[in-house]
Amino acid sequence: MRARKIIANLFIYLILIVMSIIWLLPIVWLILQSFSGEPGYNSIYRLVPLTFSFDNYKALFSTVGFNHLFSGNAPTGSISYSDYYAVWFFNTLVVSLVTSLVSTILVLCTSYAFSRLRFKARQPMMKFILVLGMFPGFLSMIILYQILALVGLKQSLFGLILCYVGGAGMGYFISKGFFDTISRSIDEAAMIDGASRFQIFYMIIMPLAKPIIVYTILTAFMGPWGDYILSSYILGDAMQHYTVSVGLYKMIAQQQDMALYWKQFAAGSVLVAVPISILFIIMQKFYVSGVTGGAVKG
Amino acid sequence: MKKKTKINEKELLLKEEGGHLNFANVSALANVDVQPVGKFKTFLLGLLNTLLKSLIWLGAFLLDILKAFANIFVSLYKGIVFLIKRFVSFFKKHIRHFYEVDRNGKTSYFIMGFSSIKSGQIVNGIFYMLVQVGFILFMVFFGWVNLWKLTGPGLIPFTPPGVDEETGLYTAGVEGDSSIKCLLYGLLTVILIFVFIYLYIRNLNTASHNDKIVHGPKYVDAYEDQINFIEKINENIYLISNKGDEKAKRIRFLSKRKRYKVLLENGYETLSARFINYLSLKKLVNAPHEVLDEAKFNLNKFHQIYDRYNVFNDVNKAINHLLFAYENSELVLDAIYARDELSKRNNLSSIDEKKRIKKKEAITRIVGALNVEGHIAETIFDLGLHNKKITKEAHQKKYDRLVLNSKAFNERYANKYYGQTSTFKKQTQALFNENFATTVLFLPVTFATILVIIPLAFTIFVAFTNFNGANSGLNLFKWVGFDNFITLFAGKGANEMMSRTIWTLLSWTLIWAFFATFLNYVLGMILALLINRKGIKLKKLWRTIFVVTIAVPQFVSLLAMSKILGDYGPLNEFLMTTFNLAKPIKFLSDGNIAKFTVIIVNCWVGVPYTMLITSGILMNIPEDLYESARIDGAGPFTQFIKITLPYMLFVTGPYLITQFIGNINNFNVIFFLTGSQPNKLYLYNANDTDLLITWLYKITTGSGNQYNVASTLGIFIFAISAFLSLIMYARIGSVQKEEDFQ
Repeated sequence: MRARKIIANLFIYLILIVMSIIWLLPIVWLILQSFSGEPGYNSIYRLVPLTFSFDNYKALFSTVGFNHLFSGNAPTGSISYSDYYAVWFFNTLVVSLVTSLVSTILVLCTSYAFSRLRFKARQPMMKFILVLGMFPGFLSMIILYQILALVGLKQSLFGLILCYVGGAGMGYFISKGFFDTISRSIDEAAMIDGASRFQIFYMIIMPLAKPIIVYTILTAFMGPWGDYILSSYILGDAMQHYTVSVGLYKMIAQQQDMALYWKQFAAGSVLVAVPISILFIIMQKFYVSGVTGGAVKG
Repeated sequence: MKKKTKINEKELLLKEEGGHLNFANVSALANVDVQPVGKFKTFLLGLLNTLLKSLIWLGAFLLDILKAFANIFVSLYKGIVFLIKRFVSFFKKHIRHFYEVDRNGKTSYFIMGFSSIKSGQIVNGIFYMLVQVGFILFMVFFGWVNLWKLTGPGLIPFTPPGVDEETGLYTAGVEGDSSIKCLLYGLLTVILIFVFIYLYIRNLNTASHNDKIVHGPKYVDAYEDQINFIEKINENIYLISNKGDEKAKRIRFLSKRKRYKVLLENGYETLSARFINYLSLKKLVNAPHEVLDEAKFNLNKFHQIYDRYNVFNDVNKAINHLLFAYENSELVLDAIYARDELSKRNNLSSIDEKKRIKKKEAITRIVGALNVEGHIAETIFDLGLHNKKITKEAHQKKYDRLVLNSKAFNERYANKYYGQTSTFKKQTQALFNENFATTVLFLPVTFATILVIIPLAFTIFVAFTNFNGANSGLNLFKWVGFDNFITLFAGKGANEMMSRTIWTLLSWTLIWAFFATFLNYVLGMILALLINRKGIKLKKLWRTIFVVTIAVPQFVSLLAMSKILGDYGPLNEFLMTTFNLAKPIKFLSDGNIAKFTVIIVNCWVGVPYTMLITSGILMNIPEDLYESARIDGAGPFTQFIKITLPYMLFVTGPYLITQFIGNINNFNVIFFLTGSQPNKLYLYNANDTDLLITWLYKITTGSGNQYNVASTLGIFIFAISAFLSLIMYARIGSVQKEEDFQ
């Protein structure tokens, strides 16, 4: 029996190792590609490139693009994508920060209202939001572009931030679940002591909700880094306003650009992926502690 | 046939101690001849059973789809009927109000805000008046123009400056309408009209409310009568209880008291019913919260007793229970004692603010701690049942207090709320308390309306126009009714390709969603099981490895995958050199192979997610289920089918549904992998592996920019998602109620 168990376990270890290799291989390949020193995209065929260099990373840290960002004019003439990577990174950082802050406020307001307060329109609103969520998200992107153009925010970052933030309140579900676990007797005790509902909101509930606030901030922060569809449509061809995802996609979208930019694309992706991965793992911890915690157990 | 075997008891005990009770022992003990059925037979029977069950499930599911179709029409009809009824009752209510309301209110129907100003709510009144004037001005100058142009949308075409052919004169050209602008302004005007109607109705409601406040007392009479009636009954009860010696008195007390008790209880019941009526009549919902809580507290006392003891449907029993509880329940005795002490110290009959709050605290503490016992104690205390040596004055005082509470409530209510109308200051304060929901939801709702709902409504309207790249900008587009729908679904002739495309892509979307969800789920579960097994070390390491693959942003990993799997990418190089193939395997360019590739890559992306979720759930399955299964001799496979699988399906049912519907709209995987492949000739602007949603994107950004077709398609996708969600939730919802998995 023990022998059987040991053989079974070894077999399972083997399967796990093989699967881990399959899962990690593309990512490891991408990282190695970013360090390759071979010209063109010859290195694409090998797992481990023949020569290593940091040139790809160095090429991305040029500040040429910032002139175009602050002057507001689109670049003309021949464009080198790697000049603009720093600008894209900066853009995405700004957009993510603002989006995460505003999104969190909106989500907290909505989830608190639906969880603790009882008002007439509560049930109809929840059903309406559910139905709204079933529409494909970028159906309205055409119209948003037109509306933003009418208002004068054509192809701008502020317009992009507005688009991300608009539907933020509809993603209240997880936060609401968290607020539901906080016992109502705290509310009632505070009300007997004479607190108004607004005071209960910011004095009592908010400090208790720290894990879920951090989770919401992190989730909202990670959104714009990976979003291609909406950003590419709203930003059109204003290259100084691109976010990282749009820029990287445009880098290797056409076959003739591959030779020049493949390694830099890999380097750019690694620069994006590393912080996001770390944030993701941190976020998982907060999510678990938020869901299993709460003010009252059981 | 019974086999009697002589079992040595000692042997049996030894066997028990050494190992588990096995089948032979038990059967011997029971003296029954049990023949174990062959393993193969059980397996076949089990298989047949599962097969039949799944067939029945499938049949029920298909029936559900048919029912859902039928339900759509039924619910549409019901919805329209309901709306019409609401409309009619709404009109009736306001016409009735017009007759009931006083002169101020009647003027309010024509001059908004009149009654508010007359009742002292100056800010509100001025606000309503400004709204009315502003709206009339807006409609006169801009509104009707916008609405008229909405019929176009946009009616004045653009003509460039140039020489007029007929007259030979130079014209400066006409700056035409932009159809998008006209549509947008028209939509906004319609919304403004609805907002104005809402404010008008609010104005009317305020008028009638103010009327009730100012002339409040004319509504109060019924309440007063009831209080008088109760007072009389209490008097009679007291008179009876004070005649004769102790025991006789007690018996008479109980018997007569029963009759009067009935009256009293009926009286209290009617009182509470009228109380509720009174409250709803006065829309107590908007009262300051401490008043509301006091009212609720009083009501609760009555209701607790009735709710709990009415189940006997016998008032005598209720009374007996009250007395029994009083005499035998220590909690009740304690509560009464505490209440007594409290009443002596805090002078409960005062309605002074601070003392009232202290009283509330103390009572809440007692009542909250004791629940029903507390309420019983309260009622006994208030009725004076506990005090046998009660004097007439004390008794009178008690009932006075009870009545006074009710009257004081009325007065307090009137003075605080009904003597005065709620001013602007009070309303602003209420925004942070009772109406906090309005304040807190203001920002999210505004953002969502401007940035999500209006564009969505716009898009739906665009589906009925011919808005595309050619008809935008300076050119006008027009309403075309249902033409787009007909072209998309049943196009003939030149448009046949579009309808063929949509049905092909629809079937592929459903197949893709099914396989993507199914494979991800099964593989994720297997992986989680493998990692979770006892004896596997470094569980966290394995999980972290898989989590890392989803931590990387999707567009990075998918773009990398698309290059790896390209026609001349590294994987093909590797395969060609190792296996000496003549041509590369077209993972992503060949339509049929691409379908498989896409599903497999989706597994690569999605299995870690399902693994995480199923891991968490697997850890929660109680171990003793597996223990007992192992004792009964079940192998690992049987354990999986009988214990793990049902539990997992039960818990992750809703998750599976959401995943399926999400996979129908899974844009990223398909777009980044095959989005750059050329479109097929037999499909309209689409690829073999396109989902409906990627096709939508291609139509929008491709040649011609056909926004109208895209909008129609979007509505179709929404209809499918909503339809499937409803069916699935109904189905899984009914299963969730059964506790089969236990």
